[in-house]
Amino acid sequence: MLGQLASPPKFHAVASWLWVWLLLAGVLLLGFGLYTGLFLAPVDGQQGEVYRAIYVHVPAAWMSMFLYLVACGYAMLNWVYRSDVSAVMMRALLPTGAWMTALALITGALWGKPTWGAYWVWDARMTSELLLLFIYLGLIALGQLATDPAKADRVLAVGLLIGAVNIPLIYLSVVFWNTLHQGYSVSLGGSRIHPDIAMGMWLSVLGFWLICASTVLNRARRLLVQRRWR
Amino acid sequence: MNFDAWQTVWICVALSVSVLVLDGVFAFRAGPDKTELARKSQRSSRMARMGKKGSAQ
Repeated sequence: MLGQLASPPKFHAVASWLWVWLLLAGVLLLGFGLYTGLFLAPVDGQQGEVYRAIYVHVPAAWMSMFLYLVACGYAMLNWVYRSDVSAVMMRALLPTGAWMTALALITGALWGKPTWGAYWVWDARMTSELLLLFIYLGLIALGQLATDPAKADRVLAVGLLIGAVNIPLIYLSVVFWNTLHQGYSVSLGGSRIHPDIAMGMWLSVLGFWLICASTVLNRARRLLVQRRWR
Repeated sequence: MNFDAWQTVWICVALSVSVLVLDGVFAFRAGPDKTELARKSQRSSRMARMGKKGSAQ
């Protein structure tokens, strides 16, 4: 089944209806997550109401890293198979990843002002996330430089894999350095967030994930048409 | 500029929704739709046929 999706006509056919359903499910889940988070979740004892920024800041920050890792997966597939589908997926993920990174930085800055007293500090987590934004923007530009699409795909794949060094750096920055940004609240071992607060956050994360997946698929199918049938 | 807690939260939510919508709109500009392309090629072949007929007359 997954192997069949490497065929451009099959991928195009699936992506053409899947993106609509993902969008509908994503909007519903995000709406429900925001309603739960903003109106039903209790007030935080330390931060008061402002902690509710997590319902958009955390999903955006996770998406910024997750989309990069998925793009790296497609970069490796493209390096091995040189398929059009892996190339367009790799390219389609980058703008959405850049948007999510910018959103994580801006919502983080807005949240930082009432919590830390400053919109920006050169903290390891924030600086490495800013570096991720520059990497995304650089890769988007790099993908458009070469006139030969196949050559551009190879250069982009190498660039993506080199830039991947920054992802563990972002994730582990709160462990390696003494940062102003808080440490892990959620890890593989479990969550330290109260379930009443976490519920809305998980719904928002799922909503963001589905909306981003829908946008990426819509962009990828259009890039595929431009590449193969124009 | 200082915002109170709820203002901060609502600005973050509004920004997020705007970014998701903008990204979705820009995705439509990434390339043509296959049906648009098919319609365009049908139209251009119809125009070509009409041109041929016109020159034959």
